[in-house]
Amino acid sequence: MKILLIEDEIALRESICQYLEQQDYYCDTSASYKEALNKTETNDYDCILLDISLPDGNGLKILEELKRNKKSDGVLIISAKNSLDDKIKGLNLGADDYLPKPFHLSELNARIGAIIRRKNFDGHDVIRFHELSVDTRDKIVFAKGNPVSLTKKEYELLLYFISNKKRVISKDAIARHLWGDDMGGNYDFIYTHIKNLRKKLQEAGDADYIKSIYGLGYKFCEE
Amino acid sequence: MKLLSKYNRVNVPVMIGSLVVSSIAFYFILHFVLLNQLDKDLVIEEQEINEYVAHNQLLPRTSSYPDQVIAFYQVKAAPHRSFSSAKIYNKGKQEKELYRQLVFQVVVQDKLYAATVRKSQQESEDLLKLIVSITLAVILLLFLGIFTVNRFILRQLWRPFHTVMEQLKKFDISGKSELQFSTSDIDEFNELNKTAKLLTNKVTSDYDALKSFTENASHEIQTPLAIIQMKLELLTQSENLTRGQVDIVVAIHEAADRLSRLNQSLLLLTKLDNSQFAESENVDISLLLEKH
Repeated sequence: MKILLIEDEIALRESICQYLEQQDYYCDTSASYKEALNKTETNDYDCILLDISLPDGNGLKILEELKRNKKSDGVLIISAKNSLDDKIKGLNLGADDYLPKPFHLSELNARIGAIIRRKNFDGHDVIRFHELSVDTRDKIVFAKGNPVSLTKKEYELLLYFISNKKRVISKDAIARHLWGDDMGGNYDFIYTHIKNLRKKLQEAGDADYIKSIYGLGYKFCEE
Repeated sequence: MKLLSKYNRVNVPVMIGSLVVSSIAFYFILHFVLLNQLDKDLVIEEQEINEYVAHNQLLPRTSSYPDQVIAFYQVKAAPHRSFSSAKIYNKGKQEKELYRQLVFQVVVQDKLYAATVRKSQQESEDLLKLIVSITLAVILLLFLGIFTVNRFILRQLWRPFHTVMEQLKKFDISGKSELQFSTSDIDEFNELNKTAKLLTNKVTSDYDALKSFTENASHEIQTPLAIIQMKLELLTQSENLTRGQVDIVVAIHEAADRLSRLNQSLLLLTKLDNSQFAESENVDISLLLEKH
């Protein structure tokens, strides 16, 4: 999958690209409005990560250009200003999602995955991981062909894990993804959800892929 | 009215004091003038008597009117020529009255006489009393008039000042409203208005500049914060961190989180005054504190 990252801050560009490449994405970058305009005109991408506060122009104009040229690249706006006006404007111009900085790379990854699924498979995609399969349109999880009955939060949690497989995910990234806030650092409720998820998956015949990493969080991977 | 009462506190005693002093002076001066007038009349009588005596070598016949009495007494020693006032029985009015008298010596045919010429001082005394009373009454009325007029006029005059005061009291530094003043024809108030407007405008713009700077600084802070957090996240992906290194990473992460929260609060503060939040409600802090 091809991603275009439009971001003027070099350290952020490097971090995001590194993470995405670890997720087997191909990551192209632009550091300026002009460069971004060029690249979007000449190439097609599965998802464009757009920082709207660029040094030589407003990133929203690139969005307008994309829509004017009837391009179907997915657009995820990343912005330092968590401004409601910008968000509304961006979504109205046709952006697929809006993620204010600072964000977790795992969150960015999960949202890119969602945009690509929606774009390529009309939201219908089955993600497989060994004997697990997740139907993202009907939101049904199968383990070894058996359906697993999960609550909404458990489903979201599993989807988050699978989208970021083999990556260490911090507890506050999980909290922010599921509840939108890091809850002041008290993560007991996360333990509960993870415990329940593990139990349900194992009952359905799934091996336990959810690993606890000392101090850092969790990792969804085989041994 | 504080200014008026302070003004009166000085003004009124001074006015009353000068009124009293000038009344007293007026009384004495008028008294002196009237007395002088009376004495001149007595001197005229003295001159007439002296002329008559010199001419006729006889004492003139004294016809006594109640208000003017001329009398001669034979004396052994020459009297001092002097003026004096005395209360003497007035036959006409049948009571004691004040008389002004002049005593001088007259020599007729080698006989020494003391001549006394008396004129009633009562009339001039009464006249004096009347003049002083009228003057006092007029001045008092004048005072009262000025006092009352002052009260009312001053209240009107001070109105532009009170208008400015009200506006200044309602002034809100984060509000959009500018102070509105009408021009008055009093220079001091115009100057007050102008200066108040300049001051409030400057204060508002300084405040806005400060807020805008804070907002910008806060936005700038978010980028390096994001870098720290992202690099940390990448770091945690490494397979071979020791427990000690993990602890350090966690500590850095927590500190960065606190910084991030502080920054969010700062941003929220700058947004609050900008009326970006349409609704506001009162929160009872003590209840919240008790709950937690």
